[in-house]
Amino acid sequence: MAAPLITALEIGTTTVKVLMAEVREDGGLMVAGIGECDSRGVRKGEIVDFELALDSVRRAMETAESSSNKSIGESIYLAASGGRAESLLFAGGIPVLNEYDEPGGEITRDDIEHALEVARKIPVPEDRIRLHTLQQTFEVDGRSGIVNPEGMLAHELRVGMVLIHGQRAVVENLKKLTESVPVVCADAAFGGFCSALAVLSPEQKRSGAVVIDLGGGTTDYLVCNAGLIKLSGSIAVGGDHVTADICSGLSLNRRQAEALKKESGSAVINRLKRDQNISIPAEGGFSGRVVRTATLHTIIHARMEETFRLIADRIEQNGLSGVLSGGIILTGGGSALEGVADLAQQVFNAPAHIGCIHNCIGLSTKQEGGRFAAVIGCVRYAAGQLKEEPQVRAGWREWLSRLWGGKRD
Amino acid sequence: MIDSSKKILILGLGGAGCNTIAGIVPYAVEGMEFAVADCDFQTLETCAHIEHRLAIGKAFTDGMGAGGDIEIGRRCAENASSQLEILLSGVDLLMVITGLGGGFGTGASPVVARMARGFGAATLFFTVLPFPFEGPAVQNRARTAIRRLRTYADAIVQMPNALIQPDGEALFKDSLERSNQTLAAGVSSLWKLLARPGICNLDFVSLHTMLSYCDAFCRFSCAAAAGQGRVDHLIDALRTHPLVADGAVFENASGMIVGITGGEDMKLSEIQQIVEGVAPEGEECWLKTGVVIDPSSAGSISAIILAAESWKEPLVDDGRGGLRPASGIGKQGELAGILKPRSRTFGGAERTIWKGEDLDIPTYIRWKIKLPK
Repeated sequence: MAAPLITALEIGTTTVKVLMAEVREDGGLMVAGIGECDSRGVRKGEIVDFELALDSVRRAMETAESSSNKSIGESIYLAASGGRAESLLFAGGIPVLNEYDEPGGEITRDDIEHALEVARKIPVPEDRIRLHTLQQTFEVDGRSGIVNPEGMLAHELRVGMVLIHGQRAVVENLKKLTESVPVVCADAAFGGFCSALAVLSPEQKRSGAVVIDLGGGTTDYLVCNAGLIKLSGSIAVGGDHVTADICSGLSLNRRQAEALKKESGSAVINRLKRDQNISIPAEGGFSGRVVRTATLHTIIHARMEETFRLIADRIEQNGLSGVLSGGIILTGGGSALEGVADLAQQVFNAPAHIGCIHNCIGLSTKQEGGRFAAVIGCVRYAAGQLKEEPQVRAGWREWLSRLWGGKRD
Repeated sequence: MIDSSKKILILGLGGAGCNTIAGIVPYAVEGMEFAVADCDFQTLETCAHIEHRLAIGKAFTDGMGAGGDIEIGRRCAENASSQLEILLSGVDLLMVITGLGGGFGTGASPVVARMARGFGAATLFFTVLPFPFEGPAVQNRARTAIRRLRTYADAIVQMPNALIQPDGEALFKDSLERSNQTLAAGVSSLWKLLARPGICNLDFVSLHTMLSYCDAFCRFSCAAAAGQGRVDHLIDALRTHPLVADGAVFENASGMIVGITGGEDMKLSEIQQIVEGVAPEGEECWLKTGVVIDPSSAGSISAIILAAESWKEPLVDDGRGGLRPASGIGKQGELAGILKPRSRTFGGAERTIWKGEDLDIPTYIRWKIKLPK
């Protein structure tokens, strides 16, 4: 039987991306079609013009269908970046009873399921929507860090959870947009989480790593340690801000600033090039101008450093700054900026590199990998969801893999 | 004698400003710091006794006046930015005296105000407005200048020339002397209140609060009296001061600073009488009183009043040449859902506020990074 074709959609601030891929049994990804379209009507990951955004999504989907010669089908998976996502660590639990309903007893499979069910029911505020509820380790009678408590004797079983939640209005509008195309939105996953699925290797997850998705309007990040997600979130600052800074600092229009950023931009102030001049050609009523590389780099450097610092501060507040030996992995369009990895290395004081997608065929992963990480991750996430459904009661080995893939309710 | 941590500078800009400063200096109290700046070297010669003199804009005017051209005034000031920066750095309160309607003072004032703001100084502008007979063009220029100045100055005191003149057939010389005296009295009593260690002297912070909340315009009145019934005379004189005589300014004031200077024979009951005599009734008015005892002025009592006509939250530079209320950002947390500032640059998306900082403003502006040119 052929593996099912999964379609993932990311409505970004700069581009709308559609990726159709098959997931083979060994977990490898085969890309069947890619569609990309300049995004309009989206700012900072939020829809500001519904009709324009809808048009962009339709065109991206058409491109994907024509490149694969296949139809997208009925349902797609949405990678929702932005939405001012945040994460929350919490724990929920149940008392363990023995067979005579007295306190204290052996933890059974049912107890674990029950504890998970209780823990997942943490309420979220009205204006937030839960994107992922991922389980972490168990706590048995106050002893934490238990991976599988089945068969242990205890009075109380608690399970740690990490909840990733976003702004309800933003995520629901993205879903509504998809449904207006019209296709069914099977599920929405957080973009930062998807990027992490695409680029993180199990070793990196264990040793502690940060995945930063540098998008056009938002920057999503995810921190994991000891194989578990510890912190995640989204900051509504992205490549658009860099462009806007250049506009204001060098008095250029948006298009000129964007082109300048892509061609000559650098996140670190390049000492070799600092005295070079870049000429901006005359056009329309604009009489052409020469700008110094040092000026351009100073503007970009300040913005990128600030963005990284915001994330670094949050990591430090959560006491995770000491455990980043797996490094900083950068994805998204912003990772194409020169020197961005060097800057990340300076700010986080940890090795930094551009994310590389592993186990994926059909995409020039070296060049495009950074940009497509979120949609590829979203396909992986979807495949995990599909696989899960037939085997509700899987063995614990299966369950352990779900630790990462997560299960949503 | 002076609180050395707070530096107060009195700056005269342009012809009118320089002449006024030259006229004030004889009345000055020891310790006051003056400076003058103009592009007309002739004017500066009349101020030879002033320590800091900036002759600027030689390249534009060759030592002549700006000839009523605001643009020349502005360019002169922009060009002399390094000289002005040296003068303004470290200043905590900048009082600028300038005549609006001309070229240099009108053009340079906004530039100076902007620089002073950049150094974190509070700025108080005493602007002398032209006589009505000087013609509509001059009046218009003055009005435009006030509007531009408003963007950067913390407070502007408007002194229409016509209002400060003595009645009737006064000599022209006396007229000028009169406006100099009015200004001198105002500036030096304000300076005394801030600089002298009074019993409860006016502190710098109160003045700063007043300046930043007064919606850029404030009224000012000062008077002195001595002898029998001095308190009643003083209150009377304060109320009939030419700059506040045109209406019930004190009754309607929403913010007021009352500064009282008296000799060692001043009584508490007198202070109470003065404050009660001028302060508006009701609880809405933000009132601050400062009292300084000056042994040299035994037997007499003088007072200065700064009154704000409207009381608004301070506007801060939004980094794009506009102004917005400062509190709109700090209180985001509480106001969320009711009042979300929208970003202009990002097509109406919600502003990105993080810990009170507006991340939509370029980082290099917020971090005050000087861009290499």
